[in-house]
Amino acid sequence: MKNITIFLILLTFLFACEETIEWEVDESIKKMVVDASLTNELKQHPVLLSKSRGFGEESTQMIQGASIELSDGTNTFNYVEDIQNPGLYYTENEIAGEIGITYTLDIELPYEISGYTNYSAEATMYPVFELDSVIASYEEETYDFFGYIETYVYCGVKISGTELETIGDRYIFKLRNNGVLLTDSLDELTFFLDDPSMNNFELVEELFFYEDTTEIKLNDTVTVEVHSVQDAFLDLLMYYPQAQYGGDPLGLSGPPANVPTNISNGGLGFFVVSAVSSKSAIVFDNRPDK
Amino acid sequence: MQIFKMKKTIFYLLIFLFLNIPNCLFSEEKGYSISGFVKDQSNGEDLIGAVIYVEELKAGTVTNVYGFYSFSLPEGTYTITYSYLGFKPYEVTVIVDENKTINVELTTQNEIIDEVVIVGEKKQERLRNTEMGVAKLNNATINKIPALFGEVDVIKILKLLPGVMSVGETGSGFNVRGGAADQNLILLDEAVVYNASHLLGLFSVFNNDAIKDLKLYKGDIPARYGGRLSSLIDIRMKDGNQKEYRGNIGIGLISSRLTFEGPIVKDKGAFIVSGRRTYADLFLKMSSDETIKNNKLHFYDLNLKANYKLNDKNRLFLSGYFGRDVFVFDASDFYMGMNWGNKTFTARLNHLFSQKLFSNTSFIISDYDYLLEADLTDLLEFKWESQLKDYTIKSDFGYYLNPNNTVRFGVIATYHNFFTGDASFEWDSIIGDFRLPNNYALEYSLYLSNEQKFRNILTLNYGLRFSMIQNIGPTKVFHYDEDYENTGFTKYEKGEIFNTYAGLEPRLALSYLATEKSSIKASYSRTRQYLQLASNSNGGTPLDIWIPASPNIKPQISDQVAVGYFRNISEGRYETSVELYYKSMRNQIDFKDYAELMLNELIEGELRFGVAKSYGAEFLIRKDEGKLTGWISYTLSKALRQIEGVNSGRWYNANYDKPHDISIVMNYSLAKRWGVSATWVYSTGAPFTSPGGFYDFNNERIPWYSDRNGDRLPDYHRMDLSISRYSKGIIEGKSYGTLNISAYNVYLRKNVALIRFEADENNPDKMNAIMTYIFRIIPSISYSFKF
Repeated sequence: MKNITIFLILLTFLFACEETIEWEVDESIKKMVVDASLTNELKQHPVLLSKSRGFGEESTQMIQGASIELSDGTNTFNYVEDIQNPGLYYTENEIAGEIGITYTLDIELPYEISGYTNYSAEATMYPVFELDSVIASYEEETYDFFGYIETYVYCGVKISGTELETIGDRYIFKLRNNGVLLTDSLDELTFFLDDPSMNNFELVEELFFYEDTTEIKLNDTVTVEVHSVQDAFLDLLMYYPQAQYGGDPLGLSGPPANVPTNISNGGLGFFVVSAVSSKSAIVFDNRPDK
Repeated sequence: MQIFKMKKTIFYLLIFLFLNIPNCLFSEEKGYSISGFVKDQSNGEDLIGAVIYVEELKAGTVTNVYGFYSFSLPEGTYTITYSYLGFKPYEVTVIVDENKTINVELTTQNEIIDEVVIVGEKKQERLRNTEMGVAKLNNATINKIPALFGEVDVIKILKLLPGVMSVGETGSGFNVRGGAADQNLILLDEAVVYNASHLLGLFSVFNNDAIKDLKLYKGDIPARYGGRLSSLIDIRMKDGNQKEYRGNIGIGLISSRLTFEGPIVKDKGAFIVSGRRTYADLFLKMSSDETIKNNKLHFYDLNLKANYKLNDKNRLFLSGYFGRDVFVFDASDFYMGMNWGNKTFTARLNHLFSQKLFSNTSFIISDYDYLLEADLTDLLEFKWESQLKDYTIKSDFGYYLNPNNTVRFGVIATYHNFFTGDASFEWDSIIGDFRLPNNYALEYSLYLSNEQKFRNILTLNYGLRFSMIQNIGPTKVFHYDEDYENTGFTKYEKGEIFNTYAGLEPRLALSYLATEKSSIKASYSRTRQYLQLASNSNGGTPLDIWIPASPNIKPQISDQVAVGYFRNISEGRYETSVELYYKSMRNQIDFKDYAELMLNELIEGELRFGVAKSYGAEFLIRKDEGKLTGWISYTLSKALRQIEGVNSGRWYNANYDKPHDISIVMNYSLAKRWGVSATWVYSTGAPFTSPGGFYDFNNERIPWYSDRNGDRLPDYHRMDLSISRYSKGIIEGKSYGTLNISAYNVYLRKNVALIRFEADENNPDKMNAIMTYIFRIIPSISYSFKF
């Protein structure tokens, strides 16, 4: 698909030229941005509040002094602000979410953004499947690209497991090395979604691939986490690259649009609620001559 | 809404008029029929829309698309004038005491040299007929206008007319009075052309050497046509020279053309063959490098037509069009190919039942297909094909009852075959086949209309069309819940009719001759559309597919009202008009955000529905005769859409909403053998969706967008020039050559095609706006020789 697009773009723009131009944007319009997560792990769960920024602004403005509440329908949990990190809030106490419960996050700002001081988000925690195995190893690979031969070393992380029997499950996979999150941005996340034809699917995949072996060393402990997530969050993962590009030149994917969010009142970002399962492995050397 | 009340009134009015037809028709004084054909003396081509004017009655008629005319006159002696633009008028005195057949051949007026004699009264025909929102272009007008790469293109010229817009500079797709690009019915000798673009829209599929006449209807589409909401482009191919063998060779920068025509039997039948091929890739063959040598990038067109007069009452026409775009990238280990094209075939029989009853019966095949394939030796093989094929039978009748009434009626039936998509691949040892369910549909319509004149002052054209579509098996229909989630499917057997939509399409137009020089016209038309193009792009791509109305897609319906004031100035040298329109469209289709349209069997779940409206004013001043010819047009308009789930359900600007649009087209005959032409166009920048800012989320910077199409590109304007020199033969009426030099975008305007935003390379926190513009100046040279 991508090839066709590139092919078409090439043709159309055989004669095209590009130039940077001045573009006026009303910088005064700001949006509220929420980056919040809740899992079934017993811990303090974070919420990060910030404002959107204009073309010329070089740093993100964080939102301080907000009051935040989490509700599971019966109980309410408060958040406290992290003094060291402006805009970052944690649940006051360590709590663990429960599968099947719908959580509501209520945020009250000290001042209006886009005409609102109240924002809320709602999400249900879905079950997650357990991994059967995780294998992490150094591998050697040789490739031949039209006569150009190169050998390289990488650390591969393979998983196996069978996803749940229900239809419509959505998962994302994260990777930690010695407890430190390596997949700390959207583009590093791997995801899986099932449909009637792929239901109860047995996943046997090399999910992570690190060519830079300084990031993962031999004998490190790597942990693969599986998170069950909301439908709309998976849509966000799939569509944000298109939103970043602003639609392709031929508009094959249609006009650009906002990526999905579950924040009310025109807020941006996402409140991700997920059940997490994980499995760890020690990195070993699987290269033939080692 | 006012418009709906009005529709009801119009509907009752139509019923009243139809009930009155017998009274109106038969209360007329008994008369004799005068009928015949009007042709071009030099080649025997039928002249479409030639004016036949009866001096004593101060009334007239025009020839139909086969050059036929008929009217009746009470006994007496009359002076009848036959005229056609660029031809010497022919005047004849006729004693009417019996039914008469008068076939007329008009001779060409050498328009490069002479001023055409203006016969004021005949100009009234434009004022008197009920046609509004109609533009006619003939081959000669089209040829004069400067063209991109010197390739004359009728679709590009249509965009110079008021009310016709396009989203981008390159696309052949166009928008008429706020309608979407798939709402234009493009007919080539009655066959539907589903994709009128070559090279992704840089050129259209119509080779001007093979075209005789083009008529664009923007408003009151006659009741005999239907199937699209917004416009009809009726293109007629040349019939071929009945007198002698003639030809035309054209050599341009990117293509060459050859046309050859002549009699099959003199004055009885003729043929024409016209071909065009681009040849940029022929130069690739000269390369010694194998990877370059085998690449292909070209398109070709072939127009064929033959006609034969079986006897005085029957004439047979056969015409065909074959065109294709071919791209091939062929390296030793990697092959990628893509090609698409239209094929049309039309067989027609004109039959005269009597001097008053003219009929045409046609059998038509329209075919559009595309193929995309890739082959990486030993690694991946991929093939994807799709096709749309129609078989149509239609019969049209024209009953020229008396000078005041022309009744038209007919029936049309089409069998649509949608071979939506079949993709197969072989990767390593995995073989896959992905087949989208095919669709089949039957579309029928019946129509009846009458053009009625009252004392030569008021002309009414009223008609009713009944149209229907039936989806038939074998196919698979997916079901969706209110959230557009798929909930299963039903399979239908071959021949099983599982869904029907039908409706009436009233059409009404009137013209009131206010003074000798001016008229007021008004029209109302309802149109229904049962096929749509699943295209999310602005300009359209060859890989878009047509999908029929179905249990999940309701037919599109449009209601349009228009009023206009038409005035001839300076004894008819200048034609001026102002037209106002309002159009309301229902069951309009858009796509959900980030819709996946290609090879998606659940494509109907990606669609969202809503309404659209457009309104505007069109101003035109046109001069068709004399040394200086051309037109100036200005359109002030608005096109809006409201679609569920798009732009939070709020109204937004259509992609083609360009409130101000100006075109100036000027052709000037400098000296006997020189001609210069210039065009200048200006329009408000096209709307687009721009980011209002950015936000950081999970270490990614994501833009946020405000309203759909809430921003605009900078305004568009451009000037093109061309100069032609003709060889001596043109004066002597012999073979002659034409050398044409032209330049596109002479003042090097950087017209923005798109704007994208990306982080500055040196300062990733800063965002830059980057514009893409396509053409700077494009000079070209072409030579053609007519023999």
